[in-house]
Amino acid sequence: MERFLLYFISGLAVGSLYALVALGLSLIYRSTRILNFAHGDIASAGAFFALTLMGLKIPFGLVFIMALLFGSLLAMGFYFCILVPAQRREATLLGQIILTLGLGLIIQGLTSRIWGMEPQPFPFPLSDSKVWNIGGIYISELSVGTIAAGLLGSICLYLLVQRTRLGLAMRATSENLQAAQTLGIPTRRILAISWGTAALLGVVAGLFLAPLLLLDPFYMLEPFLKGFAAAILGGLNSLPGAIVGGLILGIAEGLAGGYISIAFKNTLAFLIIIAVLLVRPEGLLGEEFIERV
Amino acid sequence: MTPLLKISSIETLYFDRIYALHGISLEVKEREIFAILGPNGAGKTTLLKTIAGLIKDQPKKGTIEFRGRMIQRLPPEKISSLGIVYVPEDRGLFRELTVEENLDLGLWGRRDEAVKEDLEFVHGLFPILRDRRKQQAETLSGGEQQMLAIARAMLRRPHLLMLDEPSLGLAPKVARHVIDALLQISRKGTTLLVVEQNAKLALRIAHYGYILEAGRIVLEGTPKELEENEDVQELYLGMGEQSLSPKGWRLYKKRRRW
Repeated sequence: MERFLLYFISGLAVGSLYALVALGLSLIYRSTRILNFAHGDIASAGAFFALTLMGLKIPFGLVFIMALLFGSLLAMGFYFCILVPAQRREATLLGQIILTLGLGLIIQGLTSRIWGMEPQPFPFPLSDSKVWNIGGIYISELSVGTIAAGLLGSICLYLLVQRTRLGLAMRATSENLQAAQTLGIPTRRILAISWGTAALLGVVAGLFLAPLLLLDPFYMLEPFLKGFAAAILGGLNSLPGAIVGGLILGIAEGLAGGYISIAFKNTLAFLIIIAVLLVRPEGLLGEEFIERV
Repeated sequence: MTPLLKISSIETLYFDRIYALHGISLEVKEREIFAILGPNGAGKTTLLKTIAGLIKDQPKKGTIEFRGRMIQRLPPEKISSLGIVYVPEDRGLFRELTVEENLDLGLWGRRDEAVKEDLEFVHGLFPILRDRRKQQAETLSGGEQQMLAIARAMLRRPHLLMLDEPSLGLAPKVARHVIDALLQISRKGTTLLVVEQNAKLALRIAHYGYILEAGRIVLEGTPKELEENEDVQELYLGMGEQSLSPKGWRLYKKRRRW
């Protein structure tokens, strides 16, 4: 039982990060139907930016906030400077998706050029080896922080989307762009905020993943793919689905890695996804698109 | 009096080569109801969408002047903020949001005192919306959806309200309710531009009508003038008995005189 809880909690910690990545992907997909392939790379750019700032002896709290801002501004800049002009020239959806792929490759290239290809340790104030004993279960400080970050990020996003007027406009814009425009809602600004928010969640995930992995320009690739899988598992257009999908994926990985073999960890997680999608092709909480003609 | 909306020979093309509007000119005067009639594919919806700025980079030629300002080819948000609100044929509701949230979005950007008064007004027009306020828009009936769309548009305090087929798919009784509401809205001082296929209904409330065919305005006049026109009678009001032979057969296809 103790072993189970141990694996469960480490899975939960990783899963909450997958959930954050998946939330960012879902948010963009819901509002623009674009799969953001640069999501992971924006997050790693944010983490490298944080690394540089920490080298300048800036306190970590400030570094954290500035890294989040950096990621958001990057995504919003991409939206305004590249996607909007592309949409004006009637770029297809696929074309826009390829643009995000291009952005990802550009960021990878730039981070390799600036910070080098060598994996670097990421000094993080929460330690992986400092362990707390909560009711007989050993849990590392980093795991607690990670779960808290995942929870906090999800709650904040929920409050933003469901409880504020901005969130109402975001939901309206993602459902019916033209109607939102005719009501005078500044849809471009709203979509830019969606991009910024999504990137912010991605950078949070990136910063908490950095101490678990070593920092190199491609370290977000695997978490990005997992987040992507989690988003699809939960139903790409559903935000709660992204959270559920991320947690399931993380926990499945944790248990499989613990009980079966570390090598089998990824396999089992994706077997689960295949099984779920065979039964529910629209994802766990996704809704089938019903289009009225 | 200068017209509220003045359209001068606009041409709208789809895909840069298919003409939808062939040089249309029309004027809409303040505080009146204008009806645009015409068969399918005449360009009625295209005309409204062109005015609302929803067709990108169109009109290709011509000008649209609204309250003394040129508005052709402006982005739709801008045109909306100048006081033109367009209710599309599919009603343009946010189907996953509740009635209340839909109305709230109609109030976007308004911070004035009159918000409450306007909400009272639209709830007075359509009391059913108050009972349905927690319901998702997609669960409403067709008539209720149309009412919600009109109510939401009114919350923007438009100078010009453009409606695309407000009676489409509604039971006659519901359609009458909607039309009555339009009369009340008009009396309150909003100018209406209504596209309708139901010519009888439209001519009953309009102050002036235009008949659009194949992208051109072929006839215009007051409802009385239009109703007296033989071609309108035959083609739009279904009264063309004169052109039948004594046995009730139609011997030839009558040529329209426009």
